Amino acid sequence: MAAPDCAKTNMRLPAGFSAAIAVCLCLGCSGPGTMVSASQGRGERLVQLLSFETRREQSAIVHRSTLYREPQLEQYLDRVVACLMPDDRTEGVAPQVVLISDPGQNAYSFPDGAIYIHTGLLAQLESEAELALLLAHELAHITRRHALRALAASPAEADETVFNRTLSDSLSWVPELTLQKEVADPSHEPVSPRRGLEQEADRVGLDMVIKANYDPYEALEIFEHLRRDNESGAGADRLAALLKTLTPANSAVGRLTDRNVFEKHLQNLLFEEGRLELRIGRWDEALRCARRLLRNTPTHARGHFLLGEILRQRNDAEDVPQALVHYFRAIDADPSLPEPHKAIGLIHLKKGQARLALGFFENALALAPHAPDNEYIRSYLTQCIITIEGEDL
Amino acid sequence: MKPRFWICIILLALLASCAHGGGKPALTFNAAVPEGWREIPTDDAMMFMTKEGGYKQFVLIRERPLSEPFQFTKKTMQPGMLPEAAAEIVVNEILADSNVRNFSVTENRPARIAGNSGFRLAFIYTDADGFVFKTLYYGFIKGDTFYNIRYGATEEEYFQKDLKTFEKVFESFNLVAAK
Repeated sequence: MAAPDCAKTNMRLPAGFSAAIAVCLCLGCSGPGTMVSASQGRGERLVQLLSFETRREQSAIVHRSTLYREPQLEQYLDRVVACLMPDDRTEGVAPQVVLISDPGQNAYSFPDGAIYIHTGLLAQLESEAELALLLAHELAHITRRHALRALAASPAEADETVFNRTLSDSLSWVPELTLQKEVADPSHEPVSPRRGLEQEADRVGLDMVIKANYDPYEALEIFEHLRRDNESGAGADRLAALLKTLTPANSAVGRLTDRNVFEKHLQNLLFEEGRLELRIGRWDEALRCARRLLRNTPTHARGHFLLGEILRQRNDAEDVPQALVHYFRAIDADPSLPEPHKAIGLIHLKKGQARLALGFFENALALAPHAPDNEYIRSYLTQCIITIEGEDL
Repeated sequence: MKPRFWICIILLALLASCAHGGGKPALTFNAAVPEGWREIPTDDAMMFMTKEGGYKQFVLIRERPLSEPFQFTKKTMQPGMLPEAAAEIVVNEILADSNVRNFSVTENRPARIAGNSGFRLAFIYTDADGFVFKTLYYGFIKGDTFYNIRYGATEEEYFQKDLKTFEKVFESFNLVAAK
């Protein structure tokens, strides 16, 4: 049976921890391995193991990912985290949100307080309350020491094997083993420590959201928005379980968040995410980002240019005329932007309208005399001139 | 340790050719193999040549039908597409390949390739094994086919050393009737 919606998308355990659990599950019964005394300093060694895995995994994430940096958004996320954090802070934990430029829908946390969120996931959220629930779920994993608890609950033999293997071998194969084990053997599901911890993180997270005075029902809309991309729709079970925990009193205390404010915070991220989606050819997602950006900021020049680009490159019926509309709106909003001039020129050039294209290419060159694509624009100008001269002869 | 990126390309090419059960498709281009270099036989519509091994320096010339979507972005090129748009598709495809890290385009400009309007890209990337590669990539569309000519080498050791040789290969490239 597949993991619940959010377990796959936004609320999974840190990879290093998953690796440790996987080894417990997969190697625990496989043989004696390298054994040392199970009773000697087990707790200390587990803490050491988690600390080692946390550093190793985060180093690997930074190495293989592109971080999305936007100080104002980061400050906003930190404020939401501060709002959610319980007073009894866990020692050695310093919550910090790190954004990864990635269209995937994923978020995960580490025992040291680091919470990694993909821009593709953040771009799916539609209110601060949803964001709060996402962050609260991850904070619950951290503050409840889920990683340590799960490891401590595993068989001692496995711990020793994990410990010894982790320090010497690459664990890159382990997440796949975890997945295979959980998917292949449904009997594990009811007793899966991972599942149980996810459920606890859901409950504790929702409680944190309520205590921070967010409206829980608004927060739970996250399941609706993330389910768009989940074919199985399994998040409904999780949503139902959380709704059961709410009382009528809950709806009276929460405040609805201002979605316009949230959209403003996401403005740059939506633009960048739209560009990212366009680059990989996910037209629908790219369009969703650009349209959402423009819905809240109708005069966003680069947003109109982006929407024009998506439509021009997708090139379905009626796309190109629509693209032209958005290029002209981009120019209206910011006449100094060279890109829409070039794009309009390209559309005219493709239609064989060299005289019309010429002026737009000239504008693009004049507005950005040192742009990296100027050699291309000059080649288009030459093409226009040759065509026009041919027409005049 | 071999760079996985090129291993994958070659294996995919070999698998693809096995899948349709035929031999090497007829090529519609020709290029001279430089003295001291050797052509590595493949069953795909490409020429792959190297002097000291494909992972030190190589020249790869390939033709692919426009109808064939790119592997990662699923984008396709269109007949008559402008060179800049074709270059963008190539760049996006490489960006979408998770085996490629630190990809950086250092040059993207129009170019003439055997009398055809095309593009020239220069880029640097790190493969999954940590090797830093520098690549020159020429491409153009002719009819229903996208042709590309690549020269790649591990940046420090080999790129400059064999650049002149690549230029000779590039100059020798020409389109022919299917052979």
